[in-house]
Formats: sequence, structure tokens, C-alpha cells
Amino acid sequence: MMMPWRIARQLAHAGVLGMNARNGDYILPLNPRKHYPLVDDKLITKELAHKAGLATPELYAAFRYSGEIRRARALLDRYESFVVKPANGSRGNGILVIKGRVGDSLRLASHRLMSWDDLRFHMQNTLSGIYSLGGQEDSVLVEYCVEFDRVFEKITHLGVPDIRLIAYRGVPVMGMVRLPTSESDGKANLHQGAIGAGIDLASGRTLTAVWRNSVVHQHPDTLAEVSGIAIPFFDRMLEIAAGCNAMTGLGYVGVDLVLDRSKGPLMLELNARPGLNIQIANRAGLAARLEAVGRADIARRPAAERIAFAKRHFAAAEA
Amino acid sequence: MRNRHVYLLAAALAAIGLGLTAYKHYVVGLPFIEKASVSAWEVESEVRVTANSGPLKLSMFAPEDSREFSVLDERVAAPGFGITIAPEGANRRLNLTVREGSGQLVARQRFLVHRNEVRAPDRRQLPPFPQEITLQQTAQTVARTLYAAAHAKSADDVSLVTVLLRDLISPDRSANVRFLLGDDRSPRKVASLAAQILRVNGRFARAVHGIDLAKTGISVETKNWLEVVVGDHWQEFSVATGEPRIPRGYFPWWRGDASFVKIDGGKAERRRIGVTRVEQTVLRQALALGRHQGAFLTNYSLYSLPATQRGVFRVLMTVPIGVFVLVLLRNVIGLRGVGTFMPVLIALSFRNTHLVWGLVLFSTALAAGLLVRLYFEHLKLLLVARLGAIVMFVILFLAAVTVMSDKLSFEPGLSVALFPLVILTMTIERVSVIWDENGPAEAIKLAVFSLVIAAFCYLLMAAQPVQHIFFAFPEMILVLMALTILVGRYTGYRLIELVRFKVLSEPRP
Repeated sequence: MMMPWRIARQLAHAGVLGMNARNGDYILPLNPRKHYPLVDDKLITKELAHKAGLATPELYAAFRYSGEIRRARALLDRYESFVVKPANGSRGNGILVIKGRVGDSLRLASHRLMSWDDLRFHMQNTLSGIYSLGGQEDSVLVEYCVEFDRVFEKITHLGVPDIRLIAYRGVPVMGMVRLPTSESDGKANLHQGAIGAGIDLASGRTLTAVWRNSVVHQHPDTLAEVSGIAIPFFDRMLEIAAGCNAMTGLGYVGVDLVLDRSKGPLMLELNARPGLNIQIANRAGLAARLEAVGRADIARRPAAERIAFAKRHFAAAEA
Repeated sequence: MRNRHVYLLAAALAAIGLGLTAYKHYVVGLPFIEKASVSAWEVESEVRVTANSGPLKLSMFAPEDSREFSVLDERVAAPGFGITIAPEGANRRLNLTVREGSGQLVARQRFLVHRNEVRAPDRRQLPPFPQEITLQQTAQTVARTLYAAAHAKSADDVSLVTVLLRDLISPDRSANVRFLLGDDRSPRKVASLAAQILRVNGRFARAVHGIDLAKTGISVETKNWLEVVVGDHWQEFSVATGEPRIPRGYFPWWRGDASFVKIDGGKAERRRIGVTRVEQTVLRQALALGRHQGAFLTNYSLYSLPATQRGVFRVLMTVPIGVFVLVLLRNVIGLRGVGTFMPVLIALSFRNTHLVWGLVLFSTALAAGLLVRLYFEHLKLLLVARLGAIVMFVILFLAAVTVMSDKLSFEPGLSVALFPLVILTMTIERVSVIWDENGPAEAIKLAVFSLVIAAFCYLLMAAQPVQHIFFAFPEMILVLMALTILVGRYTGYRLIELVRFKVLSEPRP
């Protein structure tokens, strides 16, 4: 049994960022509260990204009032597959992935069937705030269903794997791939049981992964090796991430991306309070990297320079 | 820079808090630790009145602090009446008035009597001169004769009164005594007559009406004795023995010859005084402070509030310690419950129900509420409507529990007050939102954990030493505030992060 203060000292030495330091030293000073709606509401984020020229999944429809939900079928019947999301949802709750049709019913990615009535009820619930932070009124957005790149096929169970990058003052500082498992029910959230594999920012290759706070090398469902996979278009992803701070006015932000088979990297959503598990996935501390960016003072340099800085400094130790 | 500001602010707050505390302890003399419980008596007087239709005026006496006893926590329960208290001679009159009285009405007076550790200064004043004399002309002459006889047989003022009283109560009474006293030889009459005789002869004297606290019961009789000015102070005399002392438990209620109740517009049905003995730990400081009336800090302390508000603040002042515990749990240890400060509110509501019963009631109601939630889920109700229905169910459930515990005369259930009810429904709402958002496992885990924190906070907040510190030294809250501000700038690891990130502290394999 190691003494707590010894662990604390070692963690500090490894540059691990704690919740309090994240909140007190980075989120509070760098992320002004008034900019939160820009990232909390996915519809606004989408609009911002569109203006900034960042690719996002195409918006099929948005529902803000319960009266509009009657038209859901008329608006959506033409799409074979689509994703229904609460605009203010958190942790991937309330997301439905519709993959196709069986007769008059909708087929979900989880192989369940759902009637249009069920879908409308789900939308009504979403509007009433069931999935939103704090339970306030919400809206529903329906968007293009990502066909994720085959590179992740062997290390994904159901769901869509996504890539989380942390951008600090315009510099991508850390990244991971989040892979859904049977336990996470197709969701890419670590605390729901998805696994997260760190990414070597220099090479764009995956490192070891974290699953439920412990280090794993294989996907628990497919048993395929998760490390050493080269992520296609990783440079483009770094560019997207590097642009997100200026776009939102948030100095410390988590950028969630997906890799579509035909459309390439798409920005899914942003997070003003990105989690800290990414450190376990990378087996590296965030604080050390954030301090390096702070010392270099390159927030105002061109994006290419900032990305080069990241690649130079934040390469995985073992690579 | 920001940190220096924070440290300065925290240091200033802590300095003010500790400084005031030290001043109150060392200069004013407020103790840090409350001594063990002291005994007190709860006295309840109940008057039943049959009102004529029309205005009803009911007047009775309210007791005052004496040298031996302090009166605290005085409450009057008389629904519908206007209540005023006014001094009247040596007494305080409690006036209850109602414009339209009808039928039988009950007025209750309740207060705590506490025996002073140290005799308080005597605040009884000399009555105005000339004193009221109710004896007839002939009777006054007889009174003078009796007084002269006693005067001749005595050596000083004290023995004079003793001799006079013995003359009045002796079985072989003189004709003079029989003339004045008639057949009524009750202590009340004797005290009243002795006072009159002394007054006729130019002495300050009065009958005192009170109760014997040594005799508890739901209906006790009033006691009477005599007070005479001897030298420069009032001296009590027992009318049973004539001795210049009264039993220790004799508590004075009102003085003079007036009867306890005066009614305009109605008829007294029954009057009852009940005395019960209670253990009190709360009062001592309030009394200690009474002797420091001059000091600004004590004059404006929480002790100067009326008793009922004192009770509220005694509880309220402990809320910061509960809040501080939650701040520590969240930011230093890294654990969280339902809502930010919900466990403190739950802990507060346990005060009404007591811990074990509170926990049982809370868990049952929570479980019942969640079961109903589970059922409603099948009905596919919209969120707000579903929460509303759950809240309604919980209120019904609590009403049922309360009625049932009343029927089974199961005491604690009755103490479910409005406040716990509101907290309970809010908690159920929160838990069901968490159930919706994060699943049942998380919801139950958080609920159980919240109850554990709440129980801990309750034990802390209900602890007498803690209550005493924060009530006697409210400025200690500034010290807590300073600590809370410091925790607000604590950017070190939370305790659970040491476990969570432990793998990062180990060298790479």
C-alpha cells in the first residue's frame, strides 16, 4: 500500500492534471461561461463550424417545438439512415441511430425495431429536457449517419468510434480514439464502458488503451489489438482541433471527431469540460503538456506552426 | 496574483472570526464547551372559557424572571386571539382579545423555567406609596391591634412578620383573627390578609402566587406565600410556618390579590397548570449572557432573540459546517451525492424526524417514489408530467404514513413537518432525473451515498458542542468561509484521483 502523498507526488511529477486543477487553472480562467452555449447546444456548434468551414455531419432536420414533431416522418422518410440527437445532450444520452427500415418500422443500430410513433415520443421527451444538462428545454437535431471508416472495424462493437482531441490555446495537446464495446451499448463514452486508446500526435498511431480505469491492449469484444493503428486523415483532424479555440472563444476544449468512409473527418461536437481519462489512455499527464504550450506562447502563431509544435513536443514517449 | 488575493481574503476572514471568538471567550466569558445538561421545568397553564357571543377579553398573568428562576421560551397558544403582554404593577399581564368569541375556547401559556446557577440580582421594585388597602375601616383597626401585638412579641422586622403569621395560622385563633379571616383559612387568604395587615401599618408587603416545581404533574395546585420589605430587600415568608424562607421549588408567578384569570364577555370553565421536568442544555449560555447586558456583542448576539427564533438559528448556524463537509467531499475527496447541497438539507430534515426514523422514512418514500416512477415509465409520460405525478404520489404516501403512525400512536411519524416533505420530494425528483440520465445503478448509488452523507452531516450538525460553538460564536462561520475559499483555490489532486490515475504514477511497463 503506497502512501497517498507519495502517489500524489508521483502524479505531479508525471504532470497529471487533476479535476480541481482542470477546473481552477484552465476551465475557469479560459472558458468564459457565456460561451458555453456555443458548445452545449449542438445546433449552434454546427452552425459555427459551418461558418468556420469545418466539416460536420449534414443536418437533415431540427425540431424546436413539439408541434413540429408531427412532421418528423414527412421530413425524414426520404433518408435510409439518420441519427437523432438532443441538441443539449450530454454523455451520449438520448441518441438514436436509425440504420434502415423493416416494413413500416425503423431499424436501430442496436438491431431493435422502433415505430415512427416511438420515435416521435422519444423526440417529445427530448424536447421536454429529459436528456439535457439540468433538464431545461431542449431541441432535437437529426443528422447524417456516419459510415465510419473501415480502419476501426475490427476494434469496434456496434456504435461509432470517435476521436477526442484536446485543444488548448489553438494547440492540440492530446488525443484518443474512443471505441464502443458491448458494455457501452454502442456509445463512445468511457464511463459507460467504451475503451479509449491514446494517440501519438506525431505519427497519428494509436497507443495502448484504457478500459474502466485500467490499461488494456485488446478490444474486449473483438479481441483485436487496439494499438499501432494509423488513423487516416489525422493531420486534417489536428487542423480542425487547432481551429476550435478561436472559433468558440474557449481556451480549453475537447473536440470530438468521427472519420467517415466517404466524407473524411467530421466534427461531431465540442466539450467545454473534457474529461481527464484521456491521460490514462495516453499514459501521459496533461498538465505537463498544457504548461509546455503556455511557456511556448504560440497561441497567435499560424495553425501550421501550432500543429508542428504539437507533433514535435507531444509525441508518445515509446514511439 | 489571484492566489494572493484569495489568501489575503481568507486570512482577513479568519482573523476577524478568530479575533471575535477570542474576545467573546476571554473578555465576555462565553465558554467554548457547554456544560452538561441542567434541569428545567416546562410549565403549561391552560384556561378554558365559555364565551358569550360578542367581544371576549381574557387576561392572565405571565411570569417573570426571579432571583432563583429564569423564564424562557415563553409561548402563548390561543388561536384566533390577539395577544399583548403589558406590565401591570409588579406583574406582567397577558391580554388575549377576540372580537367575536363563541363557544368553548382554550388559551394555553407555556414556558420553561430554569433554576439560576447563581442568584440573579433582585429586580423587584418597591411598590408605589400609598399602597392599596382593601380592608374596611373596622378591619383596619383590628389589623392595627394584631400588628401591635406581634410587634410587642418580636425583636426585629423578620420576627415581627413571623409572629404575625403564626398568630394568623395558629389553631387557637384569637377573636380578632377570626374576625378578619372568617372561615377561609386557605394559604391564599392568609397571605393576602397578612399583606393587608402589614400595609395598614405602613409596611411594604404583598401576597405571592406561584407553583411548587418540586411537584410535577398534569395538574398542580398553586402555592401562596408572603413578600415583605425587610431593610432594603424583599423577604419571602412561608404562610404555612411563618418562617422567613420558602421551599426551593417555589416559583413566583404573580403578586397581589388579583385572581389569575380575568374575563370580560365569557365564563371561565376550568383552569389547569401542568409541570413537567425537562433536561436542558441549551439555556445556560443565554442566562450567562444576561449578566453581561452592557457588552455590545452580547446585546446583539443571537441570544438576544426570542426563544423560538433562537431555536431556528441554533439549527441554521450549523448549516455552514454541513456545507463545508460537502465542499471537502467534492473538491478534496472527490465524492458527490444527489444535488450540490441536498445532503445538508436532508440532514436538516432529519432534525424533525430523528435519525433512524428519518432514514427509514426517507428510504421507504424514496423507494416507493422510484417504484412509481418505474411504473410510469411504461405509460410513456412526458418528463415534467411524470415528475409531477411522482411528487403527488410521495405527498400522498407521506400523508398515509403520518396518519397510520398517528393511529398506531407511533410518535415519530407525526413529526414529519412541511420542510422534510419538501426536501423529500425534491430528492426523489433529482434521483429520478439521475435515473433517467445515468441509469438505475448510478441513481441508487448516489441516493444511498447521499443518505450516508446526510446521516453524517446530521450527526455533526445535531452534536451539541457543534451547535453551541456556532450559536455562541457565529463569527466562526467566517473562519469556515475562509477555509471554503481556500478549498476553492485548491488545485491539487482529489483523493479518489490518486486511485483513478494510480496507473500513471507507475513507471511504464
